[in-house]
This record gives sequence, structure tokens and C-alpha cells, in this order.
Amino acid sequence: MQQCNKIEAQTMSGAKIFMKCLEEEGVEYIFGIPGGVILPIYNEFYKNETTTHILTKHEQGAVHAAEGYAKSSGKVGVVIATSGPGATNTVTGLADAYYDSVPIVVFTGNVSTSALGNDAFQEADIVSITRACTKYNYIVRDIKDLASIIKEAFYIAQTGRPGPVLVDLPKDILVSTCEYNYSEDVNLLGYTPEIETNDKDVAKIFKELTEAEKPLILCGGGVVISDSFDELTILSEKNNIPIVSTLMGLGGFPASHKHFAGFSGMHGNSWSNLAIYNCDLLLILGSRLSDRQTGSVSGYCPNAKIIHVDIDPISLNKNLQSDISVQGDINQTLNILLDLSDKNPLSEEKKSARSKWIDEINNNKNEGLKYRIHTTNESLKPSEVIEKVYELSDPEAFIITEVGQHQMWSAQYYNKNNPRRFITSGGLGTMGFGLPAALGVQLAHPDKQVIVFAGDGSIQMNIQELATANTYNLPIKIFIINNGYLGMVRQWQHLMYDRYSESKIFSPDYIALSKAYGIGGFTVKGRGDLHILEEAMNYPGPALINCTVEEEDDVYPWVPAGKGNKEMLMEAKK
Amino acid sequence: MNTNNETSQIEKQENTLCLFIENKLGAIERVIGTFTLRGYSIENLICTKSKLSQLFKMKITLNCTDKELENLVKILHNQIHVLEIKLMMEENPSKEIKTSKVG
Repeated sequence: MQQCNKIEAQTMSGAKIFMKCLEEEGVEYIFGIPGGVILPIYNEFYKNETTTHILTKHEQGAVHAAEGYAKSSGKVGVVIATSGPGATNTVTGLADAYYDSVPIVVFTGNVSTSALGNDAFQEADIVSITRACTKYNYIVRDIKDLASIIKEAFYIAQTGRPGPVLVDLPKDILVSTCEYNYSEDVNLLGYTPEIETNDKDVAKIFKELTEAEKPLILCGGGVVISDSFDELTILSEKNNIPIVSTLMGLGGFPASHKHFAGFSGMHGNSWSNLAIYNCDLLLILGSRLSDRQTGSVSGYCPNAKIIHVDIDPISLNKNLQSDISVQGDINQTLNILLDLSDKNPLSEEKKSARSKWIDEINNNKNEGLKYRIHTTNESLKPSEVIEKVYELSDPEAFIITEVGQHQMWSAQYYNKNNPRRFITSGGLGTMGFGLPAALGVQLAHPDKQVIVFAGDGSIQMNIQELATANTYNLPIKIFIINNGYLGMVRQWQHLMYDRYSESKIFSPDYIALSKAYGIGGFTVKGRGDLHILEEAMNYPGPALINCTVEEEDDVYPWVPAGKGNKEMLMEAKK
Repeated sequence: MNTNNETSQIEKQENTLCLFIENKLGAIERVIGTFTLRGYSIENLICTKSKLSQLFKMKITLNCTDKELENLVKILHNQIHVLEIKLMMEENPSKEIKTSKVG
């Protein structure tokens, strides 16, 4: 249960209570847009000094910015939107946060309780609309419940498997008054997220881990969320175990570590998919094992004993039947495993067997890397730009991506060695996520370099947030990998239908656009312009870098739908 | 080892679940939503206030496989306002099995 300071009861308006609650929760930033029914709260922002309001240009942008803030800092992201369209505009962001387990709390206004259900102006039944895409949602019908509901919302969002919580605030609740008291404990009978990991279960896992000759750990998003970067690194080093990562797990293990065996899945690194196929024990930490990760499950890890640890019991044995499944917190589990490793050091015989196993993975890596060599007389490849940007970026930079081909290349070339450095929309695959998310990341980490990889399709889905970058002078650098297509759609159409339909897209003049938004603009048209990337990276404010690349380059490796990950295609048919 | 999740032609049978949920706004809709999303058709549904006014009792009968039932119970247990789930035995409806949250 959370503790908070006792405060003497005072009578105040709902809007003031709202502000007090944010203060109690230590909310630094709230992202949103004002509107009719939510004005009593905005009137309080005028005088408020503890919470800074960030005015975005679209409510979807506000939710993604809060997600970026939450994913990069581990704190709860907070959003405020008005009723009706303001509220419905948050739905995509909520669904995105629900899939990727991001702790955010979204407050929406609504018409007065007496008018609910009467089709009033800008009314939307947002609680019903978002029931399927939130961890939990509330409508406050009595001002006496306001403070306790806000407390519960923050508690639910960040405990157990984190997720989005929506709180709907009718206008009369904000203007009526009540005694303010924030000292209650959270009392949710049916919600017990604090699970003690069972020592005996972990001992079983450890036994299997020590016996295996070719063990492999799959680092999922749960490793990142539970801040287990250090624990996983030590466990891997002590027991000589290689690590592969899911898309959401990138940032959970140092990428240049000699035990890091890449990112696995439909467009994963070839050596990573092969490692999963060849291992004799797969320890899955905090992953839902989505279809994009496993491909056909029968061909995923046919020779391995499967151990799955996740805080969410629903993820266990859902897509992949495991031999041992343990519901538990990843951090706790890893700490117990570390204790056991200290007491039972690995035998020399096993050490050398595992070194051979790591060599086998590295050989596959060297084979896989051969496909990355670019011929210099061809046009500029998208992956070449991404690789170059990685090379030039600060070692501690945050990498944020939109969704599509560029996202997969960004994951394949990921090279950062600090936690929480790869911020992307995994489960929902929301185009338009990257630019606004980067704003939240930059606010949470004002001194760090923030890099966005975007496609020409994705960037145009929330491009209005360039104005927000300018308003708050957030020096994010947006690299548009511009191939003139909805690239991933084009790639699939090419393979499955052999013709393109509605995937060729128009782009505005990005230099003129960056001028219009008052930010830096750069153009990279060919290999000879690559030096401009460095110049752009050192630009003092936000900047848009339009990189024109080969139009019809595909992402490889590529596991065709329904196939096992071993059956990946390594290059286009000639 | 690996088994595919695709539901093979395993026989479905009638199962009855008895749920105790907190009497909170939207709690019933959340439970019912769990069934509709996954395409389980409810054969019979009875909702009553229990003797304790804060609690609601739901009795739901549906046709499903054992695996589907197992998943459903896990998902229902994960709902914030679901407090207890009992499986009613088909051959002897007065007999109940209490399920508990995993972990």
C-alpha cells in the first residue's frame, strides 16, 4: 500500500482537489489541451507551480508524449483532455499504452452528471469506449470519491503489469466543493499486484539453468519495466549465458556486451532467431510472446525446455506452452537467481560448453552481418542512414522510432548500452507514436540527446507536434527515412500480391515545413551528403532531417507469416 | 514442449461459473466484455445482489473447452473487481470448486 502524508482536511473545489492530488503524486508534467468542460482545472494551472502543463496540438500527441515520458523515466505519465472529441482522441494512445504496459493516467472532462446520456454538446461515453483498452477506468460521480479515485488510478497504473488508467471528470464534480483528504490507503479488494516470487519455483529454474549446455535468455519488455538491467547483466556474466531480446526488451541489456545476441522476431537479427532455434533451454523473462516474436510456435525453439516468468499470469502458457511457468516480478526473480549463482558457481566444464555455444552464435552473427555490406555504386540505402546515425549519436542517446520498416532497421542496428534507451510502439504498432513520444522523453531527460527515426508515412500522422517541439524548444532530432512509400505495406504487397495498391505517398517539402514550424531543416539526398547528419545532430534546437533513400528496399531478415523463425528470408529473390 | 494454441477439435462442454464481484460501476460490463471479445456465447446468465450489499453474484453458463475455461478463469481473476470464482460441477450442481488467483 502506498503511504502519503496526513493533511489537515480543508474544503475546496473539485478542480483544486485535482491539483492537490497531482502534487501528492509528484507529477512533474501533464500533457494536454484545454476545452469547455475542463476549464475549471485549467484555471488552476494558471497559478500552479508544481506541475508544468505541456500544451500539445492533438490529444493523441499528448498521450504518446506521456508514454515517452513514462517509458524513458519509469514514472507515471499524465494526460488531460476535454470531453467528446478530446476524450475520443486519446483512445489510440490508451490502446498503445495498454499493449506495451505503459503506466499512464488520462483525465478526461465530461458534461455534468445531470446531463450524462442526454446527448449534450461534446459528450462521449468515454468510460464505455475505453473499457477494452485500459487497465481500469473510472467516472467520478460523487466529489467525495474524487481524491481516492485519483489515488487508486495512480496506484493501479504503476503496480503489477503497468497500464493506462482513465478517469472521467464530469464538470459539476470540478466546480462543487468537498473536504479534501488524501490520507486514505488504497483499498482494492480484488487487486493484489504485489506478488512474492516463490523461492522454490526460482530454485527449479536455477537447477535447469545450471544443467543446460546451450541456455539462452529472452529479455522481454518486463526486464525494462522492472528496471532489471543490472541484474540481468550480472546473471548473464556469472553464468555465461547469451541474451536475445524482443523488440520491447531492447534497452534491457547492453547492446555491445559480448553476450548480447541481438533482437529476435519476424524481422529480427538472423543470429538471434537461430540462437532461439538451437538453444536447449529458453528462459523467457517478461514477454507476451506475440505472433511477431514467435512466428509459427512449433518452429520457435523445438529443442528447448521452456521456462517463462511473467508478472501477468495471462501471458503464461497463452501462445507457447512452457515446461515451467512462474508468475512473478522479474527483478525479484533475477535477484533470487543471483543469490543462487553466488552460492553455486558454474562448473568449468559447463563454462567451456557455454563458451562454445556463444562462439556458435557469434559465427552465425558473422554470417548474418555479411548481408549488411552495401555496394557503394547503388543508391543510398535506408539502413545505411540508420547505421550512420547510430554511429554518430551520443552513447547515452535515447532512440525513439515510429512504426514501419525504419523501426525494424532501428531495432536491428540498436547499439546503446544504457537502460530504457529504445522507445517504440510494439504491440499496437502505432504510426505517429515517435515524434510526440520523443517530446516526453526529452522533457524527462533534458540533458540527453533524443533521436527519432521516422518514415515519411509515420511522421505525417502526428506532424503537428513539431509546433510543440518549437514551443518548448525541445532539441529532438527527427531523421525521416523518406522512400516515398508506406514501406512496410509496399514490401508486403510486393511479396503477397505482386502489385502495389495505395502505398505510394506524397510528402510535403520538409525544408519548407521545418521553416514554417520554426525548427531546423536539413536534406540528405545521397551518399555524398552523409556528413550533413553530423551537422544536423549538433544543431542547437529541434531539427527535421529529410533523408531521401532508395525507394524499394525491403527489410531482411523476414519471416513470412505462418512460418517458423528459422525459415527467414535473408534477401530479396533475384 | 511446444504445442500450438490453435483450438483443435476438442469437445466443448457446458460449464457454469459462479463469480462474486464488487458492486462497482461498470464491473458487470467488464466481466461480460471478457466473454464477447473472445467469442464465447453465454447460454445462461443470472446476476443478483448477494447477502452482502457490496457484493454481486453472477452465475454464467457457457459452452467451452477445458483450455478455454482455464484461460477464461485466469482472465476473470485478473479483473480488479472479481473477488472469487467457483466452478459448478455439471453432474452435481450443488458441488463447487473454488478457483484461486495464480501465484
